[in-house]
Amino acid sequence: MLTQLFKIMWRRKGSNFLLLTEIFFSFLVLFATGTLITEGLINYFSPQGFDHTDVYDVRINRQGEGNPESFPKMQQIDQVLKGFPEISNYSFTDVNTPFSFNIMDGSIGTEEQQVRSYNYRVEPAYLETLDLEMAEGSWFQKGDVRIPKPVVINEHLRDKLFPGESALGKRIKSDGGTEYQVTGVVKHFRQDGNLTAPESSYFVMYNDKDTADIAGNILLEIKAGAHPAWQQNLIDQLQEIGGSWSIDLVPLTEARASKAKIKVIPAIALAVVCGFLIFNVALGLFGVLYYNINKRYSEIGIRRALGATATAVRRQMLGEVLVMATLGVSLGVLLALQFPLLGVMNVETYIYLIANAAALLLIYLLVALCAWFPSKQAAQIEPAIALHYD
Amino acid sequence: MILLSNIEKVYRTSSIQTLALRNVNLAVAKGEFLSIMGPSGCGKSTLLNIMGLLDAPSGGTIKLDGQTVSNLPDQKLAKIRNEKLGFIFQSYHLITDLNVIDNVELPLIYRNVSASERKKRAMEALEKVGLSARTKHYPNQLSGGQRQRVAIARAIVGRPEVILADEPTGNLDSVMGDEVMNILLQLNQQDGTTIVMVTHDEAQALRTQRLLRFFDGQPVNTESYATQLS
Ligand SMILES: Nc1ncnc2c1ncn2[C@@H]1O[C@H](COP(=O)(O)OP(=O)(O)OP(=O)(O)O)[C@@H](O)[C@H]1O
Ligand SMILES: [Mg+2]
Repeated sequence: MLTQLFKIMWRRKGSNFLLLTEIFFSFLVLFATGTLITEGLINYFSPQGFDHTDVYDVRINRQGEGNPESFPKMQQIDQVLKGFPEISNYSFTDVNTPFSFNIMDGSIGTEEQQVRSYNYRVEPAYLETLDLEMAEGSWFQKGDVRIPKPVVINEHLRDKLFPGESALGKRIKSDGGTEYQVTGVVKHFRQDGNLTAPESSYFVMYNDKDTADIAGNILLEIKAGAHPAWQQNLIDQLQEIGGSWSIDLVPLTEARASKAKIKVIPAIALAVVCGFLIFNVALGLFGVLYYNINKRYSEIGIRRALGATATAVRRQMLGEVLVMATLGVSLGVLLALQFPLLGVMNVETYIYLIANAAALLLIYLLVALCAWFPSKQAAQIEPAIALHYD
Repeated sequence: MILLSNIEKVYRTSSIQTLALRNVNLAVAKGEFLSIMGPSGCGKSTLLNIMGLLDAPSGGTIKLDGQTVSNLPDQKLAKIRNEKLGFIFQSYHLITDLNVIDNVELPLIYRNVSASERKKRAMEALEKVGLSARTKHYPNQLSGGQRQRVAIARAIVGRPEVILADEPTGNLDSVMGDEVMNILLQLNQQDGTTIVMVTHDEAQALRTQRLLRFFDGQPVNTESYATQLS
């Protein structure tokens, strides 16, 4: 039975080639879209390494005012924040706060290897304000003036620079020439949280005695259940100190929402394209399979006349199609395996593997579904009628 | 052997209804060679298909070997077609993508016979029809007469009790036709196979035991002859 099946399929290599090609390209389409979808989903569901609930971003625009004039104002602001009852933690930072549209990046690393990395200048209280999680070592302490300066890196950067080993005590140098010593490693952290892929980051400390080194933003963690009146109250007090400065208070949840909007639009567009592609793949497969099976009514009639049950006929049709699917998909997998080897789409290997498995599953499902209906129809027709097709 | 009682067959298409068989009663005895003649469209093929369980009648009952088979489920019908019946068609109905021996083996495939046994029995059947030298050919590499002999080999490979032949010589010239006819007569007389054959050839019909004349969905009379091998 099986050898006969293969003989027939070999003799029909012409029309089977069409089906094979269709399955091969369908697999590639599903694999590529599957990779993008898997990556997005994994990012979304993996921990973002910080907790932004009840955290607010104070965005200060000094309207070009010079550092010497601004410095005492910042110190006054520091005093106000210290005495503000609703604030549990706060940290001065550069403008690249979580979910903001500002980034700061540069290269950092050892003599052997430099890694493109995002960097954050923050105060020690940044740790508590955003509830960062330490993977090893410790965060920096206020007043730490060690040379080389302490730096905290995230796991992603550690795994690039020091794969498989501890980063603690290692010395790294930024492209600006400053030397740092790693005191700790934080988990997961990335600026846009679960809206983005893992990325390399490092944190260095503000020198709060330095008049040349003035923060652009302040992150505040507010005590849960604080009366909303604190917001206006705070802005009024800060505005009074800042004078001509413009000051905005933005909840991080809101910042995240506007960031998400920008990331979601292309994601939706992609999803629509994917949906359309999958629909097309299904339609194409159905067409080819329907055509292939309909062409064989006379053969089906002959087999039924010679003693094949309807079930046997249906099984044969499905079996042939599944063999073709396996062939087409094998070629597809062979090509898909080149993706991680050649770094085509710049995602982690395990994501390719997941996408590969998902595409396989979907192809078999689609093929089985698309073959099932015409096979069933072909098997049900009376043998005498089937014999009339030629 | 075959007993048809009150068989009716109505074909319904969206616009017309054709009464292809009207109240047919017919008994075919074991070991008989029956031929059926009649004008085109009178229902001969329909009758043969219904006898061969390839089509369901709209009414009436069919008995094979005393067993009522008109209402059996597909599984049982397939088994009967496979074991008791052999078919020969005017247009041969070989599977074009299988070679001669694979075509002949087909009925045995649905019977779980081992590959070596299948090969052996297919070769025997091909020898009987004088085609043992062409086992690796594909149907499109054979003449019409050779194709029909392959079809006969396929019909007899499972040693059925009944062979149903629908114009088996219809596409063949008279020499080839006679050759096929001789094979059928031999099967009937030497192996005792019951044969029902539809034909348009009076001379061939005269060589069978009994001729049934069919008109407009009904038998109109039957004539008996002494059969002879030429
Ligand atoms: N599948 C079908 N659908 C509708 N009508 C059919 C079908 N098959 C046969 N018929 C009709 O049934 C009648 C009998 O057809 P059948 O094929 O049995 O004739 P026949 O005696 O074998 O003719 P011929 O000698 O030309 O082969 C015809 O009128 C035909 O049009
Ligand atoms: Mg006919």
